[in-house]
Amino acid sequence: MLFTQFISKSELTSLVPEFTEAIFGIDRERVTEQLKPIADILIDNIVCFIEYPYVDKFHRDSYYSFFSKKHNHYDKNSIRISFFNEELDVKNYFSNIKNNVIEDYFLGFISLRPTTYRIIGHSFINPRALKNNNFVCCLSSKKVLINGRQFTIHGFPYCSQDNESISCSEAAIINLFDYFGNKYSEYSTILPSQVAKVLSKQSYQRQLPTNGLPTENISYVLKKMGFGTVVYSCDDTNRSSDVFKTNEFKELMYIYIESGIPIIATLSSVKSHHAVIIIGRKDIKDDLSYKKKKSIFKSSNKEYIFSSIFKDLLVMDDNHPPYKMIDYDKPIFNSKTKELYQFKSFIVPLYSKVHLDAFQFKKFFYTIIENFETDPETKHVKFRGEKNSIYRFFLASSRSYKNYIVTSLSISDEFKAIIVDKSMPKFIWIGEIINGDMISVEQKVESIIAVDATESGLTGHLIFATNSRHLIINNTHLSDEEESPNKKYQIFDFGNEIFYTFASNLKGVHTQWKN
Amino acid sequence: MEKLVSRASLLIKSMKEEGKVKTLTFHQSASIDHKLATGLKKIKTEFETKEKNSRAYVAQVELTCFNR
Repeated sequence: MLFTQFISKSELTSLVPEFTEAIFGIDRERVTEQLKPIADILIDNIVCFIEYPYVDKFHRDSYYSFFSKKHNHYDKNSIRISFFNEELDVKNYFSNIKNNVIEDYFLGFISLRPTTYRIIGHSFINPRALKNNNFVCCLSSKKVLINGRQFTIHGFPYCSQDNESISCSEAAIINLFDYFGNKYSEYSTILPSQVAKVLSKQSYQRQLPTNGLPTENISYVLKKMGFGTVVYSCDDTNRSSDVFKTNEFKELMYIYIESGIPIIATLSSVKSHHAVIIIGRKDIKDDLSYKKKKSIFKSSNKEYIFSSIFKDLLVMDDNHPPYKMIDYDKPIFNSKTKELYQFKSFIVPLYSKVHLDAFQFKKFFYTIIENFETDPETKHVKFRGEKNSIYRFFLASSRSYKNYIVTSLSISDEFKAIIVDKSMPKFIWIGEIINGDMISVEQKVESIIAVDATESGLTGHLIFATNSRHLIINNTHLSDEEESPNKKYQIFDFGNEIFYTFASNLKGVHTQWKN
Repeated sequence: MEKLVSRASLLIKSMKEEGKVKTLTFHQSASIDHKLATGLKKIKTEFETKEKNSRAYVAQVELTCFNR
């Protein structure tokens, strides 16, 4: 028989440790120590549902590839604790509640595995379950069956390291692939033994027990599993001009975060290295106070990069509870060892057909503006405003960007028709110039430049450039039957199109915390 | 049967009649493309150097221990 029971949140740190001690033989104090930080981040009005045995496929894989080969006994099963809104409990769980209503009651789950070092196994929590969720982030969804009912949950996968079969690096790889596997049909989840198998081809030593992975190996696994991986590293001494500088590195990191791509970042202290997944950033609504604006625009510089506004990043760090907000300048401080970790590199799992990276796009964006603003045929089209401007760069799929254009109420039908009928690649780089004086939740955009992200040659990158009064378009793939195909650029005059920032890459309150 | 004409084509035609579209000549377009290509070439060279060197840098940093 399965053991199942509804419990209150307060019992999470009393009954569950007792139960775990009885099942797995792990000291209840140790269980409490690891469950309390998770209980602390969860809202108070939740109901927990405990199940044993539960098959956590990641632990089950580690069990068969590693733990079962030991002399000591390890349980192959896990315990699952699901979280529900207080409206749903033992009294009405089996009642005839409509599916769309009951979906809203489910807030995610965590699993507990019999690994003493860290017991939190595969977990999936929706940010609505958190006390503090003033962030925007990458979300994927998965279907789960709990106590006979099927639910769809939106969240980001999480699991802690067990220090034997998976370290922080393997945990980051597994969670990243679980995210992509749930979200896109091109990718699939990867199990701990598969990570070891992929690496066995290039490793000169055993994979189990794990010693962690160098950045190069993390990148190798991602590449072997179908990504067009790019690695950026930072020389924090800024001594050499031939590596990415601290500021440059930070800007590139934020470009990928704005693109809604979770990235694996590696950090260094004096003695050790660590890997985390960066999945989002603080929501803009908390950064709009007048004081904050004054501090952003304090220098005489008129142009600001979006990353200079936000310091707080959202990470999945397997040493901490899920959805941890960190300060970019002081990302991780280990209070036990008194070690401060700083960002050293990050690995971007790019879609394999994205050939133009963020560094090249960012620089090319300025080249395009300078050329158009100085060319005799296009110099009347001004992209940069007179006052403070914020530059925001991101990668988007052309499908979601066309959808954003079509659903924008402030854009004319003529403008929409030209953009929508323009043939575009699967992914495009977008550069937005935002009016810094009008910074608000729905920020007004003064100019937009779109570039083909799949083009790696030297020509044919520009898709369109607009400053709300003019649209410069590369008409190569635009049907204009009267024009000879050799005539390439067309400049359209429009009244006054009003653009707002594109916000579909990162999910949050504006998407009801859904993927 | 009437010939199918794309919506954008009709729109561009009517905007041209209103004097709202300027089409650059082949030479004007090629001049813009050339300047963009020259700029991009420099960017690509810079990126390749930084990417190569930073890979060597991180490998050196992680020589003694891995991410764990």
